[in-house]
Amino acid sequence: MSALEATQSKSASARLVQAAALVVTFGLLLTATRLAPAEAGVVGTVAGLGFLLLAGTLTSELIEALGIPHLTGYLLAGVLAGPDVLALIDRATLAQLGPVNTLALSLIALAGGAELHIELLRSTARSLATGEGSAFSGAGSSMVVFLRQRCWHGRRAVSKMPCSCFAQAHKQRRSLEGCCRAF
Amino acid sequence: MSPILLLTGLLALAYFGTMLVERRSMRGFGLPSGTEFLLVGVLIGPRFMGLISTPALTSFGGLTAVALAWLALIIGAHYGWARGRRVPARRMLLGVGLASVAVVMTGAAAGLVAWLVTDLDWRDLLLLAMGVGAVSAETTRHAVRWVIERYAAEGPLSELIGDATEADDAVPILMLALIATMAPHEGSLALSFPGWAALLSTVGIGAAMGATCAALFDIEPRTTQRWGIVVGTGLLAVGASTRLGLSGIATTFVMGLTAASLSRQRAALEALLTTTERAVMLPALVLAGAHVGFPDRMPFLPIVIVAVAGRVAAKLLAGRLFRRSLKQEGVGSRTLGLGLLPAGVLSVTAGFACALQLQTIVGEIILAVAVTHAIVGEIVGPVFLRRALRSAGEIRSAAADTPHPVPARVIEGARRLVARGPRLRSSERPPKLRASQSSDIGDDPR
Repeated sequence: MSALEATQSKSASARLVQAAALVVTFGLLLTATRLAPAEAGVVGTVAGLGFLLLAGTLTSELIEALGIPHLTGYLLAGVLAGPDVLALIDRATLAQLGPVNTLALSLIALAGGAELHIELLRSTARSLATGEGSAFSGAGSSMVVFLRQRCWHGRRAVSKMPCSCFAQAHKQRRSLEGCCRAF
Repeated sequence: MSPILLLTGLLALAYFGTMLVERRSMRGFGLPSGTEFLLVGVLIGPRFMGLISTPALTSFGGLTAVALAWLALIIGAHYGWARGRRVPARRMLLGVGLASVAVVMTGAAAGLVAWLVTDLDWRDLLLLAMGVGAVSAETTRHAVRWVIERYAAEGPLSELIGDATEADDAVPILMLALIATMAPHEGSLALSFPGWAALLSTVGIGAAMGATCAALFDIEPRTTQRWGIVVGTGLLAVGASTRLGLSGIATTFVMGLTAASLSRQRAALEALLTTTERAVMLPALVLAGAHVGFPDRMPFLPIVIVAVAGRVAAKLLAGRLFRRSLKQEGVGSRTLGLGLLPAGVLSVTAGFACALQLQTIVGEIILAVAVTHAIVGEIVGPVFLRRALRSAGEIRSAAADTPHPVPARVIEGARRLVARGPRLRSSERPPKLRASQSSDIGDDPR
């Protein structure tokens, strides 16, 4: 079953289950961090990794019902759990998740490269230029903004931008494939 | 050895080890409890050859804790099931009861000897007794299945032993939960929970995450998303419970048990988790072996000897009870009891978890006792189990009498080869027959 079919086939009760699971996920980590607020080292990293994996998946599934892309769901879960909002993931844990971030980035880039077909690119060059142009121009302008902020906030924000671009491109391609199959 | 090199080695071991073990169809060759991987760890560890340094081992502490908790999740997911059916309640009670007896006998004996020969305080003595009890409780199902499948044993005794060894897994996990309550993990905040509240919290977190996992697993048809759900809930359960000073292993065990009980797709969940068992188990055994040290700061040898003797006594008692419950005259209760000695992954995992949790001489002794149980059980257990099954008439005598029995699959393959006859060159083969000709020499329907 494709991702599009699986998402469309989910009923309202399934969405309700996902929402309840998201509440449990947030509730558990919220309780743990409030009862044991000190920086937890490896334990915090393990909990943070599990939380991000689960909460990201659930949020993206839930907001997809509203027609919003998965990537926004991941970002939303991250913003809510991050040190500036609910502080479920502290800054030390974020720093320790750096290798995971790098690994994910590498895998996305690898998958992106592996999925490129030269013949397909040639034949659809024009539609790609118009369809994806807006996404890349948006990403490009964001990159400029982040580059300008680099002198205040360091390099981290900029280094994550290619990841977003790859993920967005990958997602759009999947959606297009799903639409083509549906037609 | 650098941590990166060690990680690479462990990953390679997980890959090739799993491939080898899977191919031999439930360990047709090799040692029944997987002790060879433990011994490899002991040999390359810092106390012997020193190929793995202590700092490299220490840097794997967090990863190891997660691996052990994952193994507990797998054990929880198939707890109470054997050969595709649910273990009857009476046999569950028998397995749990006998494991509890082993905990009390070995724990009391080890605690008493430690009190006589060491200057440990009461808390450490209690932790030592509980830890030694935890690592002495189980009879590993891997070794029992190894013997049963290798000799194609079939009958009431094989079934009883198989069921009881599935049931006794809960006892060491419960002991680990109690130990975590008494001595929380170093990185956690020690909350002022009373013991019963800590146990309830462990069960509560495990049950909540298990129910979440089951609910999400059932509504998600895609395998890739299912992986995310199981890994995410598992890691969150381990991290949150350890942060609260609870046992991550006990939490994931309850989680696995709850998820498997509530999920409508239990078989799919179990199959998904089982694919990871060997890949996690083999590196964990190597790391456990590398952690083993034989402490020289105190007289630990008497404690190990007493623990082994206590376990032998407990298993002899179990053998007598098994024999009485089945009323099989031909089987000697001593033979059967010694056949229940194999200790494997769960014992070593429990010992390793204690060593990581306590970080003291007590933890080192518990791990040393666990490894000794695994080695003694490996040498003694399968031989006597085979003898007991043969006495019960559940093994064909031809297979049992062979000094180095060959797995049934290999025998079957050899038979097929012999039946096929010698392979001829193409020039020596007879010409192919036409359909009309072949019907002439085939079985005449008349």
